[in-house]
Amino acid sequence: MPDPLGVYNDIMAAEYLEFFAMAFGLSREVSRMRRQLAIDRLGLAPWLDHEVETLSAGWQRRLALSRVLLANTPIVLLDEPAAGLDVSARSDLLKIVRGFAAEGRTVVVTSHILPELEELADRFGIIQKGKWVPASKDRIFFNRDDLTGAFQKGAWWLECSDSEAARLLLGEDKVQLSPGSNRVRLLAQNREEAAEQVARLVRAGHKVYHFEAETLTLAEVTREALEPKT
Amino acid sequence: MKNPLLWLELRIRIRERKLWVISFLYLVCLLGMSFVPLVSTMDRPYSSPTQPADVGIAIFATSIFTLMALLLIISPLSSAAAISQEREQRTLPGLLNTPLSAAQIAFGKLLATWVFILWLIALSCPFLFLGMIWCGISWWEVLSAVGIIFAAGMVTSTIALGLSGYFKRTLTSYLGTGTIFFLWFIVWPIIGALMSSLQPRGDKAAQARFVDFQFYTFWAHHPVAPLMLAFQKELFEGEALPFKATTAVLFAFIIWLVLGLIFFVVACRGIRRALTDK
Repeated sequence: MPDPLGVYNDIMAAEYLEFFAMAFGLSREVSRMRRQLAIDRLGLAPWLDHEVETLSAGWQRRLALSRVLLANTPIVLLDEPAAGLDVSARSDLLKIVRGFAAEGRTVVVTSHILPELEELADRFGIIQKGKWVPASKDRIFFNRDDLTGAFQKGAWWLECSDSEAARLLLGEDKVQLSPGSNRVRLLAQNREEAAEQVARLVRAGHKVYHFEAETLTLAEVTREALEPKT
Repeated sequence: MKNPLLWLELRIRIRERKLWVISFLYLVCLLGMSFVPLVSTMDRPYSSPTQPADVGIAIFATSIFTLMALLLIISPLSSAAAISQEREQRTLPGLLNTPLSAAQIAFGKLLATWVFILWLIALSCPFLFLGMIWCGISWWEVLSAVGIIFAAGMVTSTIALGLSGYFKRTLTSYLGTGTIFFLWFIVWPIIGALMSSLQPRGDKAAQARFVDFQFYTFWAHHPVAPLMLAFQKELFEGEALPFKATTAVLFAFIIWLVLGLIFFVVACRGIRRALTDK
């Protein structure tokens, strides 16, 4: 599904479905079944006798997505699927896209809206000027776990009873304070070292309420990958 | 219906008000033009009264040339935006994601235009049959005229479709189509006529060769030429043109076929180009 969408404006939604069923060369019976499936799955029933031009951007996108169900393709390519949609239309559309993946289809989405992608996708890749850009030295594709795992830069957040005391105990080079809160950013080579530091705090009588690895966002990983290397 | 594009185009066209407005204006034009020969043939002295066959021939001749002139304007216009509009609306990539080939897409669009031309010809049938009713024209002549007009409509719409595949924008497609047809229909025959001054003098064989060259290069492929040649007896009252009608009509049809094929390929390439357009 390309962006811009490119739908025929001067036909009815029902005709749009019928036309693409014919274009995909479906037999009459299969065409009827798949059109019904698309109507049910995408909730198009109230709009079938409306001209495509009169539908909102969200409904036009749903109509365009009906082509996936009509063709029953194993691979779906979506270019900026939620561009220009309001919050609720976007959320509905992403649910539909997730539904495609749940059915076992491979869904490839290209988008500039990275938080949306982070929420939607299992694997990521960065493209710049038509070429893959590695997110780390040897990795072109990465998954959501890598944002907390492989791409983790050796930082953990912890919330303790006395952040200033924690800094004095663990060393100023290991702890960065977060002004106005008891949260501190703990720097360590690996998670074993981080756990050891936390244990030291506990042994010294400090209370540790919360401890978690610092997570990178997809936007941060992308920005870093695209930064010119010196 | 086998071709989905034909199905879609017909659906869209039937719903458009434009179709009915064009059909109405077209009928008004034909009606108006049919009155001209009727009035002119009636206006004769008592000594040589008007024969019904003369009226029939006059109405028929006016109708077929009016019909041809109207179709030479309408048929290119009805396909000049067929591909460029799809490109502007960004609907071509979606179409090319279906099993339809570029040739099927182009052919579906052409078929829709040809159906539209047939519709206009069907509307003009009463005027053509008037010639038969007044006994001047046989049904065979009506059929040949309709065949030639339809073939001319087919080729002009195919050329316009090719140009709409070649040009990226609808406006440039319309302008390009207008320019090409203006050159072909008006400028090229004028250049041919102006070449008469270059005709060799004296040698009759050389003169005949020159006239043949002039005729086949500048005039024979003109959409009106086969009509004039086929009906030269009726049009020129026995003074036949110095060319073999069958050869010339065949020549025109071959040129039209070649042009049609070339521009059909251009249209297909234009459709495929939509995938690489930025």
